Amino acid sequence: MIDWIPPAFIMMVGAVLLPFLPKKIRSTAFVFITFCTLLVVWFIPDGFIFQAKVMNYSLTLCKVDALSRIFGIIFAFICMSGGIYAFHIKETGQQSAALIYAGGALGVTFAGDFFTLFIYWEMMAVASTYLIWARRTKTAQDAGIRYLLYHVLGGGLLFAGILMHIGKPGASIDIMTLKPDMGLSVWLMLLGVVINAAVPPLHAWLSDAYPKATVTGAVFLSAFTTKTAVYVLARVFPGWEILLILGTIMTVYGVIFAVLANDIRGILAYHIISQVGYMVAGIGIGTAMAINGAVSHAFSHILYKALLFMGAGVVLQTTGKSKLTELGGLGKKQRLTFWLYMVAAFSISGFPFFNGFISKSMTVAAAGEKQLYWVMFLMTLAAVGTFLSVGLKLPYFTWFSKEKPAELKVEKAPRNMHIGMAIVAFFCILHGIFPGMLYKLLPTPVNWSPFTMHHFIETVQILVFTFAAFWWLRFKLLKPKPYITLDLDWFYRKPAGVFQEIVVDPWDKAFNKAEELVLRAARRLVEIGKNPYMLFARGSREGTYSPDKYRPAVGKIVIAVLGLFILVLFFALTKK
Amino acid sequence: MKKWHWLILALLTIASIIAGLLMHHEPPHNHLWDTFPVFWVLFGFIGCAALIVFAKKILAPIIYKKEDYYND
Repeated sequence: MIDWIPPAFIMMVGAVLLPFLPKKIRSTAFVFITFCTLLVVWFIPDGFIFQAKVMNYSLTLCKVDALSRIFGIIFAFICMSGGIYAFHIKETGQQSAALIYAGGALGVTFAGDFFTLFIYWEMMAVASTYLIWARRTKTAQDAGIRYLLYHVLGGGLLFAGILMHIGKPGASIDIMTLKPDMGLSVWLMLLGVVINAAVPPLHAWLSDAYPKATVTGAVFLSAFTTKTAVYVLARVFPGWEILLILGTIMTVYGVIFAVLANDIRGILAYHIISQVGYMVAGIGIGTAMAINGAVSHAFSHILYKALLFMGAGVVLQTTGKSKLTELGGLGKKQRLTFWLYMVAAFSISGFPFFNGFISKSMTVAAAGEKQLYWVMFLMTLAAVGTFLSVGLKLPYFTWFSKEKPAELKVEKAPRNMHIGMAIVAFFCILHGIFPGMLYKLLPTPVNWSPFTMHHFIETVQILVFTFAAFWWLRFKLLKPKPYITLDLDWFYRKPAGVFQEIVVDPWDKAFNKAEELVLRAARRLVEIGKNPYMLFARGSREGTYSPDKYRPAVGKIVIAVLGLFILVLFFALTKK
Repeated sequence: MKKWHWLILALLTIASIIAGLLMHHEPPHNHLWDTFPVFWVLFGFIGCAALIVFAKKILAPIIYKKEDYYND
């Protein structure tokens, strides 16, 4: 007798049943299913295990502890809020895909063995691709294919690593902490996981695909894929130094590209990379405080990042535009959207009493505690850039900066979108004021408070003067431009030209020359074959042999034959 | 930005600097960046300006492309 159901099952069963329900109640059913899942995740007891026997393996489909529970709670919660935000969408495909996607995320979170993890991992990849394709534009289709290819590659690497890992003598399929010196298998697994965490240089799929997804799809996308990867990193790879280095680079990398981005959801997508950097680096530090920081930041991040994508989604939904160069002056029409967005913007920028303040600072402090000062400063620089792009540039050029362009038509947003946003915004502020509510869910007890004088002073000074620099340069330098940026592809697009010039072109030329020579020789031979006399005849030559013209006089032939005869005779007589 | 907006920001900055001068800096909060009064003012302003200048002046000429760049 089982008294609890694995949370992922509820979502999966829901996804299958949803298309059979009457259209009218599907959105309600979606929210109901996710709410039930949230309840189960919240109350399922620690240590609950659900196993199934498949062939010779006993798979642990569900195993509950504090780390998996905190991720499970936020995944179920954000899926529910996303369901409210997307309440007006009457498209079964998107709704079922979102449920499978969220179910996959929960499956990974509660997986007790590597096989189960892998299966849910792949389900997420497929379901999430649908949320990009559902936009039904050519760009979205192409981006979806690229996205899927990346994740198929990641899944393949992960699976290869898993197979190698369990092939070792005495190995078990149960999920456990791995160490860098355990051979190729663990590195393959790491590679598969960091693709999903969008760790540069394997991040391009994220900034490519997320801005092209559907309005509501992007909300789900922003929550699940990268954060399940963060969960797996925290579970399996804590304390790997390479994660510390890559994560710290990530924080700044995403920020710099966001300064250049013109698409509002492109800016937000690059800031996912930046924010996930804090988590990856925290896991790389590996101390209890750093892991707590990473996990709490993942929790906060899912809340405010979903809210940011919801805000940008309202803009896209109501105007049909998502480029800063085409937006501006929407403030008067979208006061509520603006302020709900700003709650998330204040959170991600680490304003005191918003949830970014209480989670990001824990990771930064953990770096300081281990005397990793370069990490600390780069993370703080990334925080400056985050406020700059998400907190200032995006809202300023979307809702202010000029009068609304006359051709920009603004529709009314469905009420449910704002309700969804308000629910998430409420928790951003709640956790910002009462951090204990979040801290008590963390895997290890927290003896640390974000509310210290040093922290307040630092934050106030940084934020005020980031704003000052923004105000000074906002039209001089920062003004959005209608361009897109190359990213990683610079490395093969630009040098491709040089490579072509140095390596490809000379060979190409040599082959062309050779071909030309051979053809010319062949043509000449053909000509000669048609009329060998051309080799001897002077003056006018004709292309083809004509006996009337070229036949020599009989006398010449007789002389030639006679001469030959004399020659032969001469040799025959003198040779004795 | 109205005048009183700037006034609030100025007051916040002055308050934070005074608070920084008055408080005790005990280990582990006794590094240069904890004790130097306007360290984070400079960090915020220079950091923000540097990010913008680096992205727009150095990186943008290399990687900015027309929006139809990928379409052919």
